[in-house]
Amino acid sequence: MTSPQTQTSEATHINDGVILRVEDLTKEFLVQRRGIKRKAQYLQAVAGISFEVRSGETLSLVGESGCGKSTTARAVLRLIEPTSGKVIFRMQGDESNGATLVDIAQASTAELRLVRRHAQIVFQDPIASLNPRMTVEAIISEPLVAHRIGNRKERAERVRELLDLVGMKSSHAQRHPRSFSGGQRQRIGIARALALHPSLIILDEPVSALDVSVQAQVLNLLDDLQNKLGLSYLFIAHDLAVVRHVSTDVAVMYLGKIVEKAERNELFKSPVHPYTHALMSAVPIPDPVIEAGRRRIILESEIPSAVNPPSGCRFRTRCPIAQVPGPCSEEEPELREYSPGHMLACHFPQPDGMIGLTSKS
Amino acid sequence: MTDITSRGVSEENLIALQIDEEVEEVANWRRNWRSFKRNRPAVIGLVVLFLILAAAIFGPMISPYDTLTQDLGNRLKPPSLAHPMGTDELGRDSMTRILAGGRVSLGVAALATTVAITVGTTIGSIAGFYGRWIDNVLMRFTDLALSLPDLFLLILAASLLGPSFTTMVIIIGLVRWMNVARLVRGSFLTLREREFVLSARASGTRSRGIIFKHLLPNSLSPLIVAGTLGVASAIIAESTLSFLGLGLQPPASSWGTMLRNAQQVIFSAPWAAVFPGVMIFLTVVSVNFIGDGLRDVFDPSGTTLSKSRFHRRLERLQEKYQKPQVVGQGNQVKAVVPERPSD
Repeated sequence: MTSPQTQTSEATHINDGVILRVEDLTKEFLVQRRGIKRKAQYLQAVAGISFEVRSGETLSLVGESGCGKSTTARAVLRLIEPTSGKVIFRMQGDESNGATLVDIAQASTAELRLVRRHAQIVFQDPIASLNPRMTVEAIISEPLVAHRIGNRKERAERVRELLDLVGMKSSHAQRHPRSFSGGQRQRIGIARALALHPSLIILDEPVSALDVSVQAQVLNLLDDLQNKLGLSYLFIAHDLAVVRHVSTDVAVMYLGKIVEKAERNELFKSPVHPYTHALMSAVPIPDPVIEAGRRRIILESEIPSAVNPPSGCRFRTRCPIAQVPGPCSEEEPELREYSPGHMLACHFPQPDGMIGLTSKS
Repeated sequence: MTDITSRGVSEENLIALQIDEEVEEVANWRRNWRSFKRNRPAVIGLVVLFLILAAAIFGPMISPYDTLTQDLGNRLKPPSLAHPMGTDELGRDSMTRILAGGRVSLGVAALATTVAITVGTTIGSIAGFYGRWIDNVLMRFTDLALSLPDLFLLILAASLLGPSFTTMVIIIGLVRWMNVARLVRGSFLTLREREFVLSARASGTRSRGIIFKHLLPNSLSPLIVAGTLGVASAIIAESTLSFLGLGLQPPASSWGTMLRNAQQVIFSAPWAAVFPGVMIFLTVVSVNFIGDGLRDVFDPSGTTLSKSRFHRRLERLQEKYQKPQVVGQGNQVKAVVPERPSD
């Protein structure tokens, strides 16, 4: 195998135990207005976000649809070109050379291919993510074929192994995706992602399209795999219950920015950002007594357009406590350390909850 | 389940659903064949085309007449037992010549369509896969080619290159590739963003693998339809060229040249024009029916069942399984059987 010069010239530092470090990642899409007066506008789907995924742990990115979670997932693997920023990935080497750091955002085609042996992705829609014309065996062995690993027989063997690993029968190998249920299809997608022994898997809403009962099975499978294979996950989701179950750390995104980030228990126990409060209050509690006494923070209106994001704090148009005009519309809050390990971007932190402010129910 | 407001339920959805429930794994072509068989004109077209093909291939071999031997004592005889389609102005048996001419007409059409599909697929694939300026350049070129009148191009090319079987195949192919190119490009553009293609890319599959394993196989259905319909238009193009005297030169025959020869005697011996004309007509209609049938099989949104047929089927399915649910709205409506719990 070729060993490309992977150390990019600039200082690509990364702390021990961190497998992926994203620095100031942005992705803008060109939105062209048709007509006589053409005007190029940019939609900033990801507006400069930074985070780290530690080895063997799970970082969740949460937020409502349209906040840039999936774009982040895709930009990290360069399935879409990031506009700017760094994506530093620690690539596990073989015995001869140790781990190397690669900036995925700057990597050459050859480096990128190498990266893709170590970092994989599982998509949300288990129907759209499997080619309907290929057999399960062809789908799962595709990464092996792409990297010319093994001969036909060895690949078939590996496919059986992987099917077994994700809890499916090896007799399923010759069927087409069509004959499986959603949960089974997602297992196939996971098996494909595991084929190359990756160290990092990006899970782009892997259970959002599944029935709740099946969700649990797939989540448990992911959990088992993480323990068994020492995988690191970047988990994209909008369902807080799911996030709470799988994460080590959680980052909350709103309109292309991270607004709050903390260790899982810390974030769920003491959320500080008004948006995080609103998200949490939307999760039902499976106890009718508590649930009845609870008040919901209902966010007014839709998420604003990322073409013209609000001035100052991006959340201010829907924030129940925003002071407009005031700091919220004038100055963009930076993501800084609120308490040790707890990052926050808000002018008016709400450590004691927001009940009673403008909540309606 | 009574408030089904849309008629946009595709046959394929229902059939897929039926079969998914009834049999675990049915090969794709079998399901498609079932769906094709429901379309009566298409099946008739297939039979007729098959007969024409068989006659064109084997007819001249078993015919007692030769295509070239003249019998000047028997010129322009009307249809009779000895000559079921009459004889031409040189006393040759028309039926034998029609069948032999069919080989030329169908051969040119089939090969020209192959050329058109090859060129169109190549250009469309490159445009759709690489996008950006490459797409722009290729598609403007396609628009340009489309905007030129094909008859003009055909005549120009035929008179420049000189009439022969090969030149006809090439020139007809070269004026018919544009639709294929657009089709393939459009299909690539949508497929390119699909998650299974992203997955393939994420697993390190190279461009070639993505094109040949993912994009092309999933663009096949519209291509087959376009190809079939293209054969029909190529037959007409060949006949037109031959009729204008730019096709095969005598004594070789094709349906178009026979029509050309017959125009001088159209009033005294109308059968000389009628039979080749009928053959062209039958072939083109059959091919078009087959093409439409294939389109219905492959394109789920194109086939819509009537409301009552949809209802009947839904009821039948409801009796048979747990209740299928109707999901979606507008033209996206489909019936879905709840997922079986066995995961």
